[in-house]
Amino acid sequence: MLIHSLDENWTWDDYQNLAQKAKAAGIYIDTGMKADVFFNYFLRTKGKSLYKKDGTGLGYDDDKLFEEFFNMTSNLVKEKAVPTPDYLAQLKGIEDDPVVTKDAIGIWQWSNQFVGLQQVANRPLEIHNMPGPNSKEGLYLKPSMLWSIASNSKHKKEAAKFINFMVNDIEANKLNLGDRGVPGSAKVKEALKPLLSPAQQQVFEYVEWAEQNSSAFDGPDPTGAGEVIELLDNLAEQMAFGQLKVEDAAKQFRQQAESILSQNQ
Amino acid sequence: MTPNILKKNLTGYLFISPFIIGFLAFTLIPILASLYFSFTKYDLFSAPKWLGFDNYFKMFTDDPRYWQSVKVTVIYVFAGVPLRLAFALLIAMILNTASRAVGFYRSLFYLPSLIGGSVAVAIMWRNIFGDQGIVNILLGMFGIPSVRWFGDPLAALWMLIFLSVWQFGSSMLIFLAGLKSIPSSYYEAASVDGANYWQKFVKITLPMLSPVILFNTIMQTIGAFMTFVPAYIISKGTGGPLDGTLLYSLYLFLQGFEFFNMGYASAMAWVMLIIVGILTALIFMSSKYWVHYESEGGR
Repeated sequence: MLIHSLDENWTWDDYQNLAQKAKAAGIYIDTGMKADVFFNYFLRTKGKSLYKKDGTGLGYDDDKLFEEFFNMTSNLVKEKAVPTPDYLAQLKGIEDDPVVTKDAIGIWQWSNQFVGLQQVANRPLEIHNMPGPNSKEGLYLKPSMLWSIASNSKHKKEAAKFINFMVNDIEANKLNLGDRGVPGSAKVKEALKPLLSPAQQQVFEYVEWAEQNSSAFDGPDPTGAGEVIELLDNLAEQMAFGQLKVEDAAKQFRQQAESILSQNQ
Repeated sequence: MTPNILKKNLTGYLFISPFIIGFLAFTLIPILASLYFSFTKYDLFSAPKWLGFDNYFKMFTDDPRYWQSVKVTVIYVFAGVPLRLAFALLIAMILNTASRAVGFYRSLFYLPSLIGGSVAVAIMWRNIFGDQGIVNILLGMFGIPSVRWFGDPLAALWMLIFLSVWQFGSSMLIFLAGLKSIPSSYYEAASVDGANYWQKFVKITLPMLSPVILFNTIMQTIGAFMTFVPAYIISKGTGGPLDGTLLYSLYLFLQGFEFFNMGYASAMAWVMLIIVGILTALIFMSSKYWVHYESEGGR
């Protein structure tokens, strides 16, 4: 059965059905999801989050949520709809990605990475929104760059002028053309629109749609997030290899992540 | 001291001053700074916080990844160094003839170690053994199904060891020089006494080469403990499938530059220094039992 397009209100169940169809047709559905990003999205759709607001611990109490999400991802690998970690380890770069070589239906990415992907794939691609339920609560606009000024800087005003220039100056952004991300200022976005390539326009349109269909960003990751992310990636890899049961991984993650994050108190 | 001698010494000091300045600035002072940091919690952005021995306690009691990196590095060193030296000696002995082609082969075998340790070689190694790499293509031509060389954690580590053994050229040249310095009269005398090839090897070649073997063993062991580039490139900075290629220096790098636990990374560095120091001392101490220095008239 040919699938021509995906519904805007699709759910995780629809996603898993699509994966089955892809597997039956002999291709992958995608190359899997970055554990901390998509688990966080999943938790947000359930009204929780990965980190607590003050960054001193995990933002969800029920390990069943962990099990629900990672059971889905590990099953996809087990059923060979998503490639195994060792296949992914030998991918040299974006040129090798199955979506570029036409061996997969899609890829999970940040919207900014679309332009680069489309260039390498050299054929028209579409951006589709995240699956639900509650995708509006789950989705967030994450700044691709968090401009900051050191609190012990002796030139705060000059630094602020520089940031103002990079964010608001139209000529500067015309040179950038959204390469570092869709500009935050609406005026700049309007000024750039006529200069964009079709792929860049797709990204701008998607981000405009996302502005209306997302909820507040939780803020930058807390200190120690690097270790938590590495821990989660490791556990996800072990679960995908089938070497660790999801229930055990849930407990291990909670125990180790809490100990890393509790140092922020 | 007369002014003349002082002037002579001054010239000497001036000549070595670039090295002294470089040594102090880029080696000694950073080493001492890292010793200080190893007792602190330091993330480069805030001031270091004194922790006493906490980093060391955490390393030995609360960090399974640390022990994994130790295990991986121990396998890498204790499998890789003997293999590399054995291979180097073997090829050196084969090349220890007087034919003209030897010069060409010598350069050929030395080439990998010249370009070794570099990022380009590691990337090339990963490409050659990738799923669509040339090795699998060749296997396919013989009808053998392709192997995912870097897929399994242990196999990936052996691929790293293989890369290290492939760069045996530098040790081989040193062995070759050592072999050439063994007087052929010893071998002739042994033949007259009726010794066979194996006896000649064990009773003449190995003892005469033992100082060279000692030198190579120590240098290669120290170098192997510090290996970083192949592990980082081939595992794309993660330590390989399931931490299978997480060499000690790679884990140190991750702790320092990805998690910004500079204090912890410094502590790891000092532990490595102590371990390598102890190992080197042990090798030296054992050397009086098996190393034969001709100048001292033998054991």
